[in-house]
Amino acid sequence: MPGKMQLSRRLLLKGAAAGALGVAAAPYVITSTALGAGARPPASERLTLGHIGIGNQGSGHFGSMLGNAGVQILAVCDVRKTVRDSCQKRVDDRYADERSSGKYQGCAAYNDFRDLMARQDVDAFIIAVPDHWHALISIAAAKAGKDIYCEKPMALTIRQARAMVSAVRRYGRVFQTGSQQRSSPEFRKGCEYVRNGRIGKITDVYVNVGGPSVEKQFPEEPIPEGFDWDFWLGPAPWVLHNAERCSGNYGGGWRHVRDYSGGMMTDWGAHHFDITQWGLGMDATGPVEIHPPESGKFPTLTYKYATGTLLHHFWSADGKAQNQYKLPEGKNGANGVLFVGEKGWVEVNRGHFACFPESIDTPLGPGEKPLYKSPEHHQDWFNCIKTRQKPICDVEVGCRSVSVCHLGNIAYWTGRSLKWDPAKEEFIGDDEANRWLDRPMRAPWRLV
Amino acid sequence: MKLALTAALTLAVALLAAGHAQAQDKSKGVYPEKPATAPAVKDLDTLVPDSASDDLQKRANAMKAIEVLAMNAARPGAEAERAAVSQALAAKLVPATPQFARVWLIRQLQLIGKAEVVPVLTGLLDDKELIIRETARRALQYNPSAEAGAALRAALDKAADPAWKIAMINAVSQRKDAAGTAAIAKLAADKDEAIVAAALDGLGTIGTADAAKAIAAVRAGVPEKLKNLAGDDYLRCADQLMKDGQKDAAAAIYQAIYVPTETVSLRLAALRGLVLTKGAAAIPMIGEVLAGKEDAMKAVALSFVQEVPGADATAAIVALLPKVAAGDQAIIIAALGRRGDAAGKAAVLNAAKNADAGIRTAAYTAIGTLGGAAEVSLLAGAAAKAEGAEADAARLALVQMSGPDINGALAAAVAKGDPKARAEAIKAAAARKAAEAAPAVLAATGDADAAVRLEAVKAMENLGTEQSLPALIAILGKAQVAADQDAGEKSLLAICARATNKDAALQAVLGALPGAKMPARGSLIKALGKLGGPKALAAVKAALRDADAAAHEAAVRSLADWPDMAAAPDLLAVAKADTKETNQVLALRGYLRLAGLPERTTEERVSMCREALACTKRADVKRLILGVLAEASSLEALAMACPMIEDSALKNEAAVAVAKIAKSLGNKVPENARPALEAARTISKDKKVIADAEDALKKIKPAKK
Repeated sequence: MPGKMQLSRRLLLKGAAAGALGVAAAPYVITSTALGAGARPPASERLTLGHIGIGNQGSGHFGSMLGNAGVQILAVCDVRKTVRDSCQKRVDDRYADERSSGKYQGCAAYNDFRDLMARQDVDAFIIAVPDHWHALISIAAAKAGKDIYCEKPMALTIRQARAMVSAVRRYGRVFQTGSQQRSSPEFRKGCEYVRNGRIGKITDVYVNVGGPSVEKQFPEEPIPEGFDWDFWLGPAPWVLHNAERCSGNYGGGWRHVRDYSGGMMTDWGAHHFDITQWGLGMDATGPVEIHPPESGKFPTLTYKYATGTLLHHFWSADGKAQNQYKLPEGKNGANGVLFVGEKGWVEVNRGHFACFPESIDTPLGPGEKPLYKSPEHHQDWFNCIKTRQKPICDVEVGCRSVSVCHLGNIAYWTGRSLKWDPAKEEFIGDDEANRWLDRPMRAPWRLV
Repeated sequence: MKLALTAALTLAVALLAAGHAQAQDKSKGVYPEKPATAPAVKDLDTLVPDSASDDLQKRANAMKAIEVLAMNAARPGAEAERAAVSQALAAKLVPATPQFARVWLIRQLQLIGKAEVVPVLTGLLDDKELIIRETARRALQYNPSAEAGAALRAALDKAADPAWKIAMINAVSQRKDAAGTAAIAKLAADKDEAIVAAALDGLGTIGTADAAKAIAAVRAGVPEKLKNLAGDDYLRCADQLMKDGQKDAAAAIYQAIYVPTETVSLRLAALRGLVLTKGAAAIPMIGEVLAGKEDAMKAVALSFVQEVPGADATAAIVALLPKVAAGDQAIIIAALGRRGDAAGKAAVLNAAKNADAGIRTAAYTAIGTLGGAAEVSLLAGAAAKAEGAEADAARLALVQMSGPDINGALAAAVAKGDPKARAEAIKAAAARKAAEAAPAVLAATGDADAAVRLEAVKAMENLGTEQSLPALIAILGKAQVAADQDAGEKSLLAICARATNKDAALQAVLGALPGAKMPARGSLIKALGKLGGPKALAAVKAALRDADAAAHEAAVRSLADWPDMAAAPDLLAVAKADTKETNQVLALRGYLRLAGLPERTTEERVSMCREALACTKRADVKRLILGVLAEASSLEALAMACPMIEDSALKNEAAVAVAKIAKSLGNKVPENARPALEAARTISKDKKVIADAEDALKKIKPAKK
């Protein structure tokens, strides 16, 4: 979520410490200037940003960064000319006083992200493009030596997600996946209670998100002036333009179209399956079985972890099948993520926390392990850019979480039960299911 | 005639509107419907043309059916069926099949096709339509058969158009087809930069030793703007070799890139590779970076230490410390803490003595992971002497340290030493709920040092038991300042609330009560409310009659806290008759708390609410009444709640109560509740309240006339 945290890129080293981890060297020239909150640091000490993709979600990030005194936006990139021109103007207006003094050269606007990658003066990118572009742009950014904030779901396919991890690790980049729920206290609390055994062994988890993406069909519509349709499609198969097909509206648009996204399984799944992974302590692995409704084994799509824990997708096409589950007494649905253990349950969603028994809702004791505490999702990224530590939704976390989403979708699309090897990241005994682990890219694009 | 014309016109307008609406809907996209029955190969005669229909719904449904046919055939153990369906799909790839349909069929073959469809797909690589060629290319790229690999290599050799050549390079290399290495390597020296880039990327993807050699051969000669790309592809080969167990070959590539002429990014990536292949032996290289002048590399290089586990690596990391600046030392110390390797402990303890506050802070945090009982007094001393983040780090470490004898060491640190350090040890013991330290903390409640005493009294809130009560009560009796009195009372109440032996606790409190003076007496009276029982109640009732106003108020508070209904009559009496409004309100709150307990029947709840309502005009109390009524499923509860919705100070709470009670009553909601329910629906912004109100309104039976 966008926040208004101040960021100072340079830290006082002598005699000061920032946080429990101690003072960290920034990846830049270290100065001895300490700056108080509210003051705008000099240009040389601000984190310089480029925004790639400024649609529904991207505009939220953009607005937040525009208001952050510790950041300087140097470039915007969008395949819609009207959008990039308007954002460019907003940036220039924002820094108008510095421009007149000669300290700021103006915001550049790009159609092609590769031109932006070449900029030596940009430190980091916020990437908020449709899912089918996440991998290529993030990998290019890593190779260009930039730190990255990339929106969730992290990638369109499991192989693309793994390629992103490889590139980020290779170049020692700080990558934050935009699964901001981990930075919210109610989710952390819920997962801490679960991880510390307050409700005993977890038998079932219920995640209430919508279904997979589909092959939606649209009539052709003219391409608006200034919209680079071919570039918007990028690595996705060629198809005629339609406004709704490429619309970023949260209720429809590209999110529901399989060539660009995984539907609500990834759009919301990247949040709630991510919390599930966190609560179960599965950030370095994943489920081992996936059973779609057709298998007849469970009322709805269900994953099984090696621990025996069952993860149920609390959704069905007819809206009824999930009502067959026998939920704990007093529960008639799952609000967000419902963890059910042998000794109780914990339920979390945005602004919502509930548990049974209520007596477990107490602060952690000394023998219990707290989870990573992020001050706020952007701020956590900024902090880690300074300390070079892995942020709360590091690229591996994003990869494993989005993999859970995609595994479910593949089970839906193939219509059969699947066995998954989370170490090798491939299906066992089902070569055709393995073909869903990636999508071949439309030339000239390629996954590297 | 006129009527017929009007009707016809009306119908025409309606049809136009429906058509327009339909067009508007379809512009938003059409979702496919799953076929009702499993499709068969024979259905393709209908499905294929339908999958290119101008009717979007028909098209979407046909595409879905074809996909279901393909996915089902591709299930494990159905190889013959898979091959048959693939061939049936391929057979429809004729010019007479509309382009859109052909594209969809090829996309299914991408998912299920093998050798049997290679000839057809290969033929499509020469199709006059780019979309067909490109879709067929991707389908071959994904085809696992050796025949597909051969076809793509042949197509690469044949490709003349630069864009198509790039597409073919991508297809061959994305298959990781080592047999394509030589052909792609030749193209890495092409005149077209885009082809060179594709070829280099292709070699990087194939990632074999031969591919790496091919890159090495051309790297120096590639155009300037492709040098980074070539370096990255060379690194990718090294990464693949390392993954395949060829560490030496990988290390040689990393070493080749780790030269001053390469960019910072490439050198950092190479350094990481060297750390991964050489382990602890590469850590001194990080030290060289830290001691060097390239600040842009330092922080990232330091982060690589985490990638190498083991005691040798820890020793190598420790060896970096004397060679780097203070800020970097702090990061190394923090890294040693995160590693959790005991081999780093000595260095961390040494850092705790450093002149630099940042280093000390990092050291205290690291001790939280690496330290043991021997470090308790060090941390307590640091927490006492330091300021700000440094002190906080020491405190947090004291609370988080785990291992044997930590709590015993805390007990020792509580018992003697510098008073400020003892106070810190007491705080830590309380936060840890360290039962082993409880006797020492209890003894400290009588300490000569005021700060130690105060912390000890506070700590009893977490650590005290019934056995602690006599000593604590004695301290409470001697307390002179408000802070001591408040802390003592808080601890006393906490101990009584959780006491397992209520009789022992009661004996201690009742034994001290006669001789106690205010304010301690007030605290004891309040403590009786945590204990309950007839003896305690008798004492509290006696205190109600106390002439001292503070003692009387303490008695009211005690009753308000009572664990069961035994206090209810006295609470109601105070609510009705006490001379001070504060006491009336306290009593009502306590009374309503009892009314809301789960063990109350509906009738009890309603009766108590009725009594409470008669005693008050205050909105804050009426809100509490509404909260209790909301849990009572009865007509009388509803009748009491409804009028309150007209009070602007109560409308929100009344809306919740009215809706909830009405929902629980099902079909029994009377007509006269309708206005209140309609008001609830309008007033509330809560979706559940609105839904409950609407649900209840639907169920109201019309009054019989």
